[in-house]
Amino acid sequence: MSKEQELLKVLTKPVKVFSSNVPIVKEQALNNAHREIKKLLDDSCSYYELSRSHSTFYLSSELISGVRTDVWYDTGGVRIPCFSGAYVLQAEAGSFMTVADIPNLLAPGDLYLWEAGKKISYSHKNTFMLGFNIAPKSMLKNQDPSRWSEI
Amino acid sequence: MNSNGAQILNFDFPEKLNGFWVHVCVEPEHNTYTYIVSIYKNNKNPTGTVILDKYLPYDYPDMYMCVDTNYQALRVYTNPVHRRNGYWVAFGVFFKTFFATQFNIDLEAPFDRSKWTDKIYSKARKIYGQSFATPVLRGGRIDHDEMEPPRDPAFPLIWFGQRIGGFNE
Repeated sequence: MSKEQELLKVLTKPVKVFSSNVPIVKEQALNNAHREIKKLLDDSCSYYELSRSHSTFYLSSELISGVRTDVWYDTGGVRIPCFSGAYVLQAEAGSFMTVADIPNLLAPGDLYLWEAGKKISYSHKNTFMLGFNIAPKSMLKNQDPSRWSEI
Repeated sequence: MNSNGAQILNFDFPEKLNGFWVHVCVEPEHNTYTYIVSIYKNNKNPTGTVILDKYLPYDYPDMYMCVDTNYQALRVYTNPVHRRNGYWVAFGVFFKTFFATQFNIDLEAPFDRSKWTDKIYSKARKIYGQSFATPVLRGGRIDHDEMEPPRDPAFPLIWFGQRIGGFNE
């Protein structure tokens, strides 16, 4: 079995949608978020004219607990076909996240997806989110397979 | 061993590097690099932990070093928050010793290096007691500053986690 086949076998085994170090929200909310992320990914693939049926995308997430407001942030993968996003868990009223110079008001439950490589900044420190990244299999060289699941 | 089956070693770090731990991705699937060294300053692992692993970490490192097939640290980076602290001099000496003892490798600075890297290299060599210096490539980065380093320097290997890109203007 080739290395690629081995990786594919591991990556496609059923695993939890989000990594186990994120116990904050109930599983139903995660399932709903996962469903919505999938829809946003479908829309984004359509927008960027990427083949959803010929590419297998994988999702990974991290808990973002508090941010700095004096700096801007970046995520891995500089452009399509990588995507980044955030599922807002907690945000102060009136706080916003700026992605590629476009401010977006934040409220718990909001979900955002954007092309990777955009500049991100935050207006308030107390912003808690599930940050996530989406990438096709070809971009997952030497990635820990337990952190990624198919979407 | 950690839950991924990765080997974990512990060393005495210089006091200056208190809070740091290191992840070394060994022989990744890459045409240029033999080791990708990710350095973190946080409490996810104890100070001085060195993890040898076949995977690249998800979190973007506070500092990193990409070692090529000639065992030259071809590309290094420091999070803007941690710059101007002299960490690379201490890490230079540490990695010189670590790679020699762990992999029997003589880690060196690259021929094509910036003024900044050259200064660090000189300081680290002095502490390490090495008189030999890798010659510098004239007309390269030492004479022409790189405007902006690549955002995914180890591509197609990628650190995916959100990271600080720079200070707001």
